[in-house]
Amino acid sequence: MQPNTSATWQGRIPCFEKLLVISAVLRVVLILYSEWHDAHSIVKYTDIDYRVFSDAARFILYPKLQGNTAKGPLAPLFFTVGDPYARETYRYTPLLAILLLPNEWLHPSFGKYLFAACDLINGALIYQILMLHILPHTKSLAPDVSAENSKRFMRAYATLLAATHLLNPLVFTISTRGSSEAILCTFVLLTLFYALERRHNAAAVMLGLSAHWKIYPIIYGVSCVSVITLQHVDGEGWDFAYLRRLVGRQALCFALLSGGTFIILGAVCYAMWGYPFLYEAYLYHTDRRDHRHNFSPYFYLIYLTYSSSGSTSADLPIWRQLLRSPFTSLIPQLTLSLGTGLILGRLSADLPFVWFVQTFTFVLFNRVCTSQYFIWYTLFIPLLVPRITISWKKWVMCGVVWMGTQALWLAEAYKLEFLGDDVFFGLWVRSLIYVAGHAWVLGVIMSGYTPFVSCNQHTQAPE
Amino acid sequence: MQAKGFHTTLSTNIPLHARHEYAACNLFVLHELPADIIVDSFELNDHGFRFQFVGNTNLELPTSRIANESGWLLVAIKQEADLVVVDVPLHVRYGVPHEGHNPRHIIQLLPPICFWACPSSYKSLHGTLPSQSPEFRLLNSFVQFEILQHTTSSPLSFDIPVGNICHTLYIELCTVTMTLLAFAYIVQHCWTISKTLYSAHLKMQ
Repeated sequence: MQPNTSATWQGRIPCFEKLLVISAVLRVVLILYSEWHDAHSIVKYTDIDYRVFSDAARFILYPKLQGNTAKGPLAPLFFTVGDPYARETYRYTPLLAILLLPNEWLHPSFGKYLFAACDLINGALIYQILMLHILPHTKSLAPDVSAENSKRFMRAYATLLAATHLLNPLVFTISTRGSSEAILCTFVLLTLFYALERRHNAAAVMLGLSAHWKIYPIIYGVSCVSVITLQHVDGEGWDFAYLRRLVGRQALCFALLSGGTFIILGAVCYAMWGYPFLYEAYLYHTDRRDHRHNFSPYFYLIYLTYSSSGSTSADLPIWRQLLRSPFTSLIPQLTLSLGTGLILGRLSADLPFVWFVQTFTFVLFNRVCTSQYFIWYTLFIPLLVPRITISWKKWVMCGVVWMGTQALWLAEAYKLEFLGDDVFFGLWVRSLIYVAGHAWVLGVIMSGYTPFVSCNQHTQAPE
Repeated sequence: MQAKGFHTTLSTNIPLHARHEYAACNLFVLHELPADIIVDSFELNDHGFRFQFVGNTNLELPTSRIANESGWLLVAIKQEADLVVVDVPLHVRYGVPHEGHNPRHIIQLLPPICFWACPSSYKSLHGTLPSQSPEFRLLNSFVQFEILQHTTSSPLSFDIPVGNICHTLYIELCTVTMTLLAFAYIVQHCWTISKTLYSAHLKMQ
């Protein structure tokens, strides 16, 4: 789906700077509203996670509170540092709590302003990536536009696409409610930006930082290494030359640098905060069992079998133990999120598409899924649109199915949570519909993807 | 009155007759809560309560994974009017799954105990707290208690749905089947697009 190349619609799009100002004002207004709303309503606008971050920041600042001092082997002896993990359900890097220390010094909403600022940075990064790496190679899709108007067309189109992120209700609601996803999105987009610029060392460091923040960006490392390897391989791809390059200097350098960044950050945090950091930030997530309802259909299975795990589960026949095993979701999840990185990661120009597919499959097959996870892949959609050639009707269908399956689930979840209706089974069925619907949407987008080289071939007009 | 759903507010009305006689005392309300009930201490802090909770503070476990022991919530109240209303937000854990058609679980709440806590220098009072209640730091400086009558509170019970164990095999089969179908569908699309990307890469070379 490509926009009309006429000047009319371009004139209606404000410049990118204006879009940034509008987005900033929107977020400031919502943050101010959130303060008023929370003071006057029992049902809070602010996400419960924001309270968790803020409390953790307070615990770092005031170690004498509830005896919560840092428990790391190298925690400073001459002054005490608080332990953010004394706050129950704080399962993030301590760096996040440190970033939010101004919540205590300056203003309780400082964190929200920080997340909103990251939103704006993300919009700017999306705009830059589009202008530098994507639209110049798809300008051939507008062959009737003169070179002079081409830049204006690109600026307008890039602004329009960046606006789909900056003015996306999911995006600005999440950040103004106090969820920290925007920070991770900034790290991921910076990683992508540097990878597209072929500044592999910077990309490796940012990837290590992203993975420290939340573990899932590790999957992007596979596609980065694959792209680096194939840059220097001629031939059919996965032959001996490819395997040799896979462990060659550049690929190894990337892996060591990103792995080293991850390990150094982890080591520093462990030295200060000890095993609680390791467990809460990483180990907890490897074995978490979310029995309360969420989009993943595994919630109901986990709830029904929660008390029968372990010895009683061993009494079941092997095939039923297999059905209950976490590997039934983990194997498809890792196969797709890592395998697509390897198989589809051929050119750096395709990285936005590959990362989209990797993240989408990671979220879709995860045993827990909440609305915030969707932002991990919707982040890439503005970068994909110029290369997805499907009709506007199909785009609308994708939107309807993507949102409709969620709305269907949310309606039932409301009945369960707040009305106490016996809808566990119905909610689980809607979870299955969510999986089917979202898999279909991914399939449509993948089918419509036009690779980088094919776009450039269109510039050669037939003689 | 019965609460539906997993979240409610326990509202206690406390008429204070002759509160001026207890000027030197502090007013408290004590809730004995079943193990199914979750009290979020951080939420109570946000509501501005001065309180102490003794019980299971893990907010994330279902009922089947915690000990069947009551939790005790002691809330200090400001006696600013002749009728005081105390609203405590409560949440419910997911209950143990049962068999049967539309299984549900009723959780009974004991009426709270509202009382004056007075120092030893005060006139002799004859109230006592339940013997099974724990020791509270908030009551350290008080030795005499007067239990208030005619207090009312609602809701008195929760009525929540629970999972149906009879569904388990069906859930196992269909969840895994849908996962594998989605996996196969996406693999098929990956295969197709990978061939497209591969030919594009070859042409570029």
